[in-house]
Amino acid sequence: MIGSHTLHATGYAMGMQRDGVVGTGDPQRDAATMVYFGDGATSQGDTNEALVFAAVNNAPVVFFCQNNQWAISEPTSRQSRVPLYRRGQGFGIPSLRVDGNDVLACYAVTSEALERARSGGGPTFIEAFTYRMGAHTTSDDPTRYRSAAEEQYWRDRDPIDRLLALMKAEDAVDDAWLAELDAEATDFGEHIRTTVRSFERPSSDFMFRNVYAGPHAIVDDERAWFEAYQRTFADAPATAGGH
Amino acid sequence: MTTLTLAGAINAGLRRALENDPKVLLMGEDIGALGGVFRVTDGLHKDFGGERVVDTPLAEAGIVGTAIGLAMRGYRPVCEIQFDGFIFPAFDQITTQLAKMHYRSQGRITLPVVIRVPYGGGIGAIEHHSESPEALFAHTPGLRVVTPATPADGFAMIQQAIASPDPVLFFEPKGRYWDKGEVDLDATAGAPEGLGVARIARAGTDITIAAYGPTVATALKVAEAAAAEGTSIEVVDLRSLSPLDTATLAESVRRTGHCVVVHEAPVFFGAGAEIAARITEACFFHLEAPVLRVGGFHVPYPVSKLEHDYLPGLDRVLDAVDRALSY
Repeated sequence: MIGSHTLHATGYAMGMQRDGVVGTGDPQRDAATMVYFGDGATSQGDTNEALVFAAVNNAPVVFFCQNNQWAISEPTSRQSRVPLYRRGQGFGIPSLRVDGNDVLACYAVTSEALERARSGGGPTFIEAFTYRMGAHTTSDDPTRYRSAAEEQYWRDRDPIDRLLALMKAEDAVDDAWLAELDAEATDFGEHIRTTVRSFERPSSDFMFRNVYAGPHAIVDDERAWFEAYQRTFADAPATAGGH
Repeated sequence: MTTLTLAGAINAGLRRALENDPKVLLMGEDIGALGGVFRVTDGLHKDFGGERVVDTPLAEAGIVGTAIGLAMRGYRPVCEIQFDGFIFPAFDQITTQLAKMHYRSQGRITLPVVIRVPYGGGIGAIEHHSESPEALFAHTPGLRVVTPATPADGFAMIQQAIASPDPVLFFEPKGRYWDKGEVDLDATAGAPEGLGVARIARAGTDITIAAYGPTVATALKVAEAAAAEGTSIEVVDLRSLSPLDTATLAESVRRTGHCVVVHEAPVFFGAGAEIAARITEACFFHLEAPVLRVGGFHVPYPVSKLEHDYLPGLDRVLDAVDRALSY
């Protein structure tokens, strides 16, 4: 469940160790794994076990915890009484907190952590302190558990606005480039929405595919039964299922 | 009588339990100020406070494991697992600890823990959010496994479950949370033993459909449709998988001579297999056809666009009824 993949990332990094692509002295060859997760995930057993495995194996993995302060309705104070980066320290993993709304700072600490992992220095735990601006899902209702003033405080610290302000101050971008970027983003959003809306209903056969890598008599029987069943309907497609 | 949704009826039952027994406490993810992702605990945090309606860390093994400790200390914890697919981090605590403690201690330790699990599909959700893992728990000795199908049962059964001295897996058909029904809020909930008793949801003479949780409403629709064509279907709402009220179901099947079992979980090694085996043993000389099963396929819960192919709907149940009657 939530946090399960931190163990997968750690195992993947342990594979890199075995494959001899860590600490070779050749930066072009050295590899590491990054794993991203939220503040809520730090409470899960799997995440804590991942920190254990990464630490004792000195695995080349960077744990990047995006602490947006809210696990649906629960503030981080329901998950921890210390800043989350100190969790990593308890496992013997170099750990730090970074301003998660500072793009350049996040890039800098991530680069450093990856360099340590690739060169054989082992795992790092990064806590990027930020804020979840929107609702968790469309069925969530943040007005039940947090204030508009708090949201505004963080809106004023939007990481994209901050980066933009910096780039403008440095004369790194001009208005024409920004207008072009804006148009590109608008088009991309439109493209995504149009594409998703145009997804057709997959054939029913899709449901039965890839349950197993090899043949499985029960799945094969059930698929055959269902296809025959579908053909009994007047409006059934000529060949239910497809390829 | 009051008209309530299933979610509202369970909420009323939880409120009643909190009022009646100071040892009852609720614990789970987002059950406090938010009132749970389905709002089943709406308003309870405000009225009973954070010591009794507890927003827990995001850790299901922790929720159930600490509930075991609280129960050892004399509390009656009611845990909410936010979605069916989230229960597996707690599977170890449930199956190796919660289910076995009474046996292990030879009756010295009782663990009256209720684990509420919104389960089943039909709501267009992504993976982990539409599963029906009830058979895994019914297969575990030491657990009671129940599921209400109506608001009236939601109100009564959650109180019976909380009053039970044994751990209860309380599966709530989330696709039916917004279905309305009449609830007598003045009624007493009845003894916890009543949890294991099936009910005849609709009387009939030609064939029996055994259903539970989300498929009871489906079976009733099937019975309505079949009645128009002259087939009389009896619908048995099992309410409980462990224990299983074989007597009520067998009594029905001896009269009708036919039985179809319907559940959303995959048919292969599902609850229907146990039910079919028991009915075959109990009613062998009365059966005019094999007991047929309708349910999910042996595939992971599919993408939402295909979930109504996967779920046992009106047509697939009618098809099984026809096959049983024409056998």
